[in-house]
Amino acid sequence: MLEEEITITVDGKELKCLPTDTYYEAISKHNIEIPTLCHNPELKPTGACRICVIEIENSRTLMPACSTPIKANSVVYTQSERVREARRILVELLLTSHPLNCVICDKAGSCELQKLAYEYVPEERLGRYIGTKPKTDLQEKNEFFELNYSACIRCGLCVRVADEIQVCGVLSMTHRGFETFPSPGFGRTFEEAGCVACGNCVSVCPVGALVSNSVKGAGRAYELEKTTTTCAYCGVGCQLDLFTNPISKKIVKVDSTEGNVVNGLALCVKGRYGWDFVNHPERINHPLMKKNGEFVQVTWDEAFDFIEQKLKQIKEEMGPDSLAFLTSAKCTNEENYLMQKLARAAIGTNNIDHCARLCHASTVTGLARAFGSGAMTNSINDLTKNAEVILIIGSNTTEAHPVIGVKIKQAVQEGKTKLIVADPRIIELADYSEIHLQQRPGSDVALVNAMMKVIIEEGLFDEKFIQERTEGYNELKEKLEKVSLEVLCKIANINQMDLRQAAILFGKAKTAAIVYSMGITQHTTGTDNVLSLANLAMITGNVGRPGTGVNPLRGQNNVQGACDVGGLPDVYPGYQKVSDKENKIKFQKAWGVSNLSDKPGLTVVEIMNEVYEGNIRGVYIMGENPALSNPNINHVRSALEKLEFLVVQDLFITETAKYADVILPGKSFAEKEGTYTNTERRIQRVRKAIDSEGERIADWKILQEMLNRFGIENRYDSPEQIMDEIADVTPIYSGISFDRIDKVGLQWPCKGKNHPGTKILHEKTFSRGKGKFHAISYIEPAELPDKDYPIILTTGRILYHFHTGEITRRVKGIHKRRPIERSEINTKDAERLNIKNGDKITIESRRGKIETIAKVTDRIQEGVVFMSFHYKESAANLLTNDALDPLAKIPEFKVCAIKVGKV
Amino acid sequence: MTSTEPHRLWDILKRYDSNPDALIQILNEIQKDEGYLPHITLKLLSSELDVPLSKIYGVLTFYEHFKLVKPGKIIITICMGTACFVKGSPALNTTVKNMLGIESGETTSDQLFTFERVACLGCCALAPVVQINGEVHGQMTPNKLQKLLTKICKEEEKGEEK
Ligand code: SF4
Ligand code: SF4
Ligand code: SF4
Ligand code: FES
Ligand code: FES
Repeated sequence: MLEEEITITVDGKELKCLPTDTYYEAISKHNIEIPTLCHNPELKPTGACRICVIEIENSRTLMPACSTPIKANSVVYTQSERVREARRILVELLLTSHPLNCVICDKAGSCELQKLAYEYVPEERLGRYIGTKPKTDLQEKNEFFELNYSACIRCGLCVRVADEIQVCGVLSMTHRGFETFPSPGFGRTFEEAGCVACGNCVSVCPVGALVSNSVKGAGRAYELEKTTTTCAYCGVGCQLDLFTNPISKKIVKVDSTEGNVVNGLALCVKGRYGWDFVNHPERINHPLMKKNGEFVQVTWDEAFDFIEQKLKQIKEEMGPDSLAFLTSAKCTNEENYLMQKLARAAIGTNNIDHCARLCHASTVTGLARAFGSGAMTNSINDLTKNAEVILIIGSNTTEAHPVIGVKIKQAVQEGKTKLIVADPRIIELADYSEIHLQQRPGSDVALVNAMMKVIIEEGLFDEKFIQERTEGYNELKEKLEKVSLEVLCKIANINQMDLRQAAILFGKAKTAAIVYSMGITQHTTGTDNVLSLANLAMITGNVGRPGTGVNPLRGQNNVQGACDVGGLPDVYPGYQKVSDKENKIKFQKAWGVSNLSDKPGLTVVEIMNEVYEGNIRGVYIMGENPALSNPNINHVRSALEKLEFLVVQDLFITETAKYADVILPGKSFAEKEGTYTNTERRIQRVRKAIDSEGERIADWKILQEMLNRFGIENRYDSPEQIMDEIADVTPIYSGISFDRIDKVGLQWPCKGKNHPGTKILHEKTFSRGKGKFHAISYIEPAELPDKDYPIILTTGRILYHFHTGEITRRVKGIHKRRPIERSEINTKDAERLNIKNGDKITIESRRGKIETIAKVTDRIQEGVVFMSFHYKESAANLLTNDALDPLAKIPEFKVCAIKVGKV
Repeated sequence: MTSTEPHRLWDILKRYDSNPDALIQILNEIQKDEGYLPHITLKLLSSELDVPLSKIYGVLTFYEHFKLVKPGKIIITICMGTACFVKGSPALNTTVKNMLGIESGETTSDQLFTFERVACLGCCALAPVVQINGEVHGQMTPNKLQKLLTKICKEEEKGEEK
């Protein structure tokens, strides 16, 4: 018996329990069932429904087990006559106002009230509850779910989830007595009250009151099969269960996986409701080849033969570097690994890259230089549980990484964490911040330098940390001494007092974390920006401890993994340089080849340039859409038009696939096995939930066939074997196997089969030994506003859509809610240009011109327009600048000069 | 006047130090000022106190005395307490509904009448009781009530003509 354990007697049995537990927690751990209606382990107990009552000896009244802390040596009964009678009365009370339409209710079979009535209400008493029930004229029916008020039992769970988990403030219990209902009030719809359709409140409703539209008539709970997998949208990597109907072979609903360590109860609208693309009629079902300008269906053999012949021909005629490969941040680790193996081992070129180039290339180069490892230093939960202060810079977290956004909101609401938000727009988190610095787009280096200057002046730097763990501090200090705070603040267009306050808040905190995303990386100074943030973290000693660190939030579901397993032109799996002789020898041996190239390959944007120049004649693209995602897409499109041979492997005929010679139908995340690595370096399982239609083949199988045709005779029976090979050649993944990550994913570095994974990087020493400061000066963005193009355009995402919209725009509910682009323009600019909210406008840059709809708002600063890049009819990337960061080769999506006109 | 002048709201907020825990007192003061709780004022209050509108709605619908619409000139209150109920207040209820076309809690579109129901006005001996602008009318019947309301309507029309 552990020292702190205490004993209680339950129904005559002695149980050992933790003194911190409630009766419910203690007793249910021993598999004794106590019914609950308003309890949820992630919420604070309220004791509202009282169905969980138990009898405690020497206590006058029955006590709710869920909210009563246990007492040593107490004697309790969970099924005494008194208890059962109390529960019966409660259940019957609920039945007086609940419609008894279980025969047609979608919740039947998983309804808590139904279960309780079955156990507690004698048949002969049921009759009295049939008949008229109190009515309400409240209603809510939206694109994703509905609240069927007549079925509500007023347990209040939805309101508590909205308050404590989602922190959305949409719901409240309103009115009294039989008229009590959860509602946004004032006759508003959920959306009008700020609902973001995460469905987290829906998921906890114990009865058929809050129900997702997708479950209607789609099958009873007990008919459905459950598959635990990883969300295929963003880098948070939420764990979710796909519920499928084995008869209709369709996904019916999605819920978060119980007790998972990444997202807990929460999901966002994309994860919970964004999956009906899987069965979309526009999915490609057969290989297609362009013949006489039109796509015709062909057999797999014909497609494979043709690809093999063309690739071999081009390679022979112009050498391996005349071919290039784009792998995919959407595909699994196993598929990415095979793709880079195809490029390197089969063809002999390092021309392999993917859209990580467009989002976090500067993170990889910057953090590798400063720390020695280009990934998020800490974990999602340690960040949101332990940070006193979080600086959020260039990350619209609640829209781009919604579940991390929600966790940050929770931390602020609980009073644990203070936020500093640095963003040109008033993003949602700005409303939760102590200080919002609304810097001019592209001025981040100046802002961070200003913060460090104040920190040094105020003596808030961590001398010991700087001495023991870093190098290059003096150069940085000297550089900062040479510029004045006034000048820096002027460049960033921020108030000196605010800046000072922010710096002091950050500097004084015992634990301060930095969270950033593409607002930092997508600049010609992206690497500089990242290095500056690394400086800020090191100068204050905020690396290597819980609640600290430099934390890039990765965009795509598997962008971290695609980089890890070698989807980059300069490194083999595990960031092992291709230019290093020993690595070459090692991989030649592992792959049984002798032709590996030690010349680093080209990056995404460079590949398109070389295609345009005619130096690259064949491109193989898996699940990427450069014709919409790259900057300056007019240029990309003319390159693709010129390209001699293009293979595209995807789910839909994307903008890019339209230029292809061969299109191969891949499988979606719900149809295949594998792993993704999330933003906190956690490798997690992807599992097959439904059989796919047509002749689609999992991408890993397609790639295996290609490898075989080039004489690489690997035969993998399953992705599991591919992962074993990855573990063999990739030191940071060497401890990973499907077995070990079956329940809970592991975080790399995981060096060995007994290694527990790594929650926090650089704990004792940096990956590169000492952390390196870099003295950075502010450099202007490549294109600034001028007389002809007076406004700055900055681009990003919105909550509902993902990337180029190929998937989310095919999700019915999402499309209905956000059908068109609405570009943000400041009220004053709009006034000057005589533009009203909802007007059709044109936006023009030196590279292109588009039409869009104006959203006039004060949440964007004067002189700046914000656009998302999800909509092909208003493609922001026709406008963006393809100027590159010299080191990371990431384009400057976040700043270009435009003019705006009225249509 | 359509809403609490912002500066009056600021005064109230200052008195309560913008403390969200004093929400009920603050709502009471606004209602005292305005006779009801104007929507714009509540919106302002929501952002000042950092309390979502839904929570304010939850609180004010829990208590019966808060009003969300500007009350009419004449307030008809029907007692639904036990004594009045058994002596026939449901019928009075129907009379008002039929005559004015409004439910309890509503105001006629000409802003003349507001209809409310309460539980026990404390004069059960006179049951059933109807209160009109504070004046108690006991032993009410549908017929008497109808006459009373017709009379009021006529007086109001005359008043307007003048
Ligand atoms: S769906 Fe999400 S955002 Fe909407 S009310 Fe429920 S918890 Fe809040
Ligand atoms: S809608 Fe569902 S969760 Fe919300 S109060 Fe009603 S029964 Fe409970
Ligand atoms: S936060 Fe990201 S991973 Fe989680 S459900 Fe949403 S899109 Fe999926
Ligand atoms: S479950 Fe314990 S009071 Fe509701
Ligand atoms: S019940 Fe009507 S006055 Fe008491």
